[in-house]
Amino acid sequence: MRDLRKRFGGLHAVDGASFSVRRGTVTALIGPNGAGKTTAFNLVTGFIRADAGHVRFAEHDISRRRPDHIARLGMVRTFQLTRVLAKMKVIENVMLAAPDQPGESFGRALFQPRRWRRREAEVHEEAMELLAEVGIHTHADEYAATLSGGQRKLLELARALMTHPRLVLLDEPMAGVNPTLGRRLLDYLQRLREERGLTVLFVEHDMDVVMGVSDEVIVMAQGQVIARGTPDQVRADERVIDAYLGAEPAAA
Amino acid sequence: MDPLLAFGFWAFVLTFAGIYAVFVLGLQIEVGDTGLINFGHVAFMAIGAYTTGLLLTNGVTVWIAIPVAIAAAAAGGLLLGLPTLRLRADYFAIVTIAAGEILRITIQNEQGTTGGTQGLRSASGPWRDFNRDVIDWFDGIGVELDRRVPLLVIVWASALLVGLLLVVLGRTPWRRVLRAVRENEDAAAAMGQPVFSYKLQALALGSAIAGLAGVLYTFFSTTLFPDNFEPIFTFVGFAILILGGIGSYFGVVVGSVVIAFIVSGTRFLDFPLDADKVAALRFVVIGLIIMGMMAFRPQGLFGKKEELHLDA
Amino acid sequence: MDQFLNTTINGLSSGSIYALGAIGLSLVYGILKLVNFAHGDFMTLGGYVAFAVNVSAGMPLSVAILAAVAAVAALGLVLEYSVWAPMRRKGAGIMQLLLLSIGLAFVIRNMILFEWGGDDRRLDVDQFQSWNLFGGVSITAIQVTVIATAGVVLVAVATMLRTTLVGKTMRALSDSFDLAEVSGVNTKRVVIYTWLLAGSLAGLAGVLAAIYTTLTPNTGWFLLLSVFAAVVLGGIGNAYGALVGGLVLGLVQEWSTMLVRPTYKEAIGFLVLILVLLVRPQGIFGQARTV
Repeated sequence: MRDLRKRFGGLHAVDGASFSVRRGTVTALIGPNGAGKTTAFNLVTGFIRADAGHVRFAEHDISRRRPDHIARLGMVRTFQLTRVLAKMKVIENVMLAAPDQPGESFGRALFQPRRWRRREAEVHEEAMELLAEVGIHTHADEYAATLSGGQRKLLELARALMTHPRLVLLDEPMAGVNPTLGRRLLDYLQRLREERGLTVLFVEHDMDVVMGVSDEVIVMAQGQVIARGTPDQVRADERVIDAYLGAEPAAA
Repeated sequence: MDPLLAFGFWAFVLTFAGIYAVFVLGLQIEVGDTGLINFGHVAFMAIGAYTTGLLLTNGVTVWIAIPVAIAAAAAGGLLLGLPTLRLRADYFAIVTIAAGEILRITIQNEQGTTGGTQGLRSASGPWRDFNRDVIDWFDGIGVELDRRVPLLVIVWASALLVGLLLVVLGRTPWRRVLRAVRENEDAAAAMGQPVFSYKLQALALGSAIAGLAGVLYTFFSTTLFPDNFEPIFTFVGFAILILGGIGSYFGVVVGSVVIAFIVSGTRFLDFPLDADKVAALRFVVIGLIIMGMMAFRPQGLFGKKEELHLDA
Repeated sequence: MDQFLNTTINGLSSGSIYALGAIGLSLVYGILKLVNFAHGDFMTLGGYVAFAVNVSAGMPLSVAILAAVAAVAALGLVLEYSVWAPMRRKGAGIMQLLLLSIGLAFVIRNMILFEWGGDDRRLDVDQFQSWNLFGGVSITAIQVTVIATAGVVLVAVATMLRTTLVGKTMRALSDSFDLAEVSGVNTKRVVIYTWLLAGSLAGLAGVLAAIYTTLTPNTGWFLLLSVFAAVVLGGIGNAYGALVGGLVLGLVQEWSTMLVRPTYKEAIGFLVLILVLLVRPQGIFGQARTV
């Protein structure tokens, strides 16, 4: 089995952190507030440039790549503070993410209408399925601005999955989402892992979710990785307990 | 009032409106669809106009001059966009005016080539003859045509074609990506869309359309002066965009006619004031329209409120 | 060498006018998030008020300057209360305000045109007096007036910004409005002072421009892009930067005439603007932020 690895080190908010994520796993990234988790996401997906260190994804060094390039390589992320396209319809938000759309090229859009119309119908169908999977298909024709915070999280998730990613980075995907639906989503993600070999790395604060669903857990604090292992190992790790007790008395 | 004179006057105003309509349709792609605030748009019209003028006065046939002029304008857009499109929106806006002014000042200074402030005369070349031929032909079949009609028809035919092109493009996934870029670049990038490439395409297309407006302007104005291509022209274009509605192609047409009427059409209405003062008031009115629209109806007459992206 | 000194004098003259215009524009941009395209027309108004007082009413130049400064400062405040504050309350974004200011610019400029007509106007100053300093270097009385007046005011403003509470608050707010608001600063008062300062300086800049060049309804509008260049050069929101930026821009423009045709000097200024935005968008004094 080849490793799908992601290893990096950066400065300041993330201070010499290194970790790798194995293909086909569901890995949780946890840590007290300010540990550098979102910054790590930003660094890895190309939204911020690291001062030092590098990132490897599926045999490519992506340290200096632009976010859209990285997304096309198969590593896709969602945002902690959702960034939906508010003035476009929900269904359009998802359809945009589909790969291989001839209609998105100027020349082909203008001169090969039949070809892209066919693909457009496929994309539309798939988008509706995804929306149904995350439970917001009834809002498909509404403007994304009308969605609630939790619904926007779901929209981002659908959008990310639409790209047929190999590795998806979810930044607090369950925040604002009701627990039943959240449960259903996790099952869905696990199914995708089994069927498509999807690798998931997610940031989450809800420990039940983390412990229940993850194959591996990585713990960050103050910009560094302080522990990794299975949920049980991490739960018992003293350094982890210290980090949480020190930073957040009411955590876990 | 002499009916023929009135018709000639209307032909003038409507031709002017049509040229502005083409100009602003190009602006609409940049501003309305992609969210690029390009205050230097007139520079590409200038490129189109002067390229046409220079080629025609040097004996190049009009069938070559027109596509070359449009291509030159598009190339200008690419040249500007490559280094500058990565800038923040308000910086980009300032850079575009600066670039436009540099171009205009250069045109003004290179008197030898462009005629500078004296103007590039007879820039429309054989257009006059062509115009006359058309009038004569219609005369031959018993139809008396005002001499301004052929250009009026050509200008609005162009506007219609460009409008049609944009409407067709408007339904494609290509335009959907532009709107995503306008809406939230990070989200678009996170989906794998090459944001920069699309911005560049929009700028190139918008500039090409501005170039076409420049070609039409050359036929309309016959002599080209650098002063015709000052930033004011773009800002009046923005007034049209704001009035008609950002995002609405039909709004561009309506806005163009209204603004053209205000700018040149009110000449024939009788006001108890000095002609110069009326001229000044015209632009006060345009300024008030911009302000009023921005304050009370930013989506314009025909824009969609839900899609308004100015409040960001 | 003579040419260098002469162009330096020219550069300081035009540069100080830019600086006066740029400080206000920069602060308004930084504190109120308003890219004020009407700022040039504020300057023009200053020139015409001075004209009305100095030429039409025959009063001395100093009175005219005070009148111009007061008039434009007042206009700034009136607009803040009638236009900008209500728009901010509505949640208007930076682009909306920018476009609104363009409409405002049209209105002001053309009302000036309406009132005074488009002919060139001159203020009542000695156009011809000049002194030969040494060799081929000379300076005109007008240049002395411009540089001296601007110099005094600029030093005063710089001191005010540095030492007074209001000044420091303005600088802090210019850096980050939200941060300052949270820390309990009286933002309402600062906003008033900002407009007073911006308006006054713009009015003065307009009078000096009218003295230095000719006064037409377009005087300020033509200067606006250069003033923007100065703002960007110094770092948006940074008042000192705007001051230095204005002077530097004026000097660069004039020095360039030693190498290229004088009619190109404005274009050189704009080229500098573009280069700065491409290479160091935060300007000479700005801090690197996400651009």
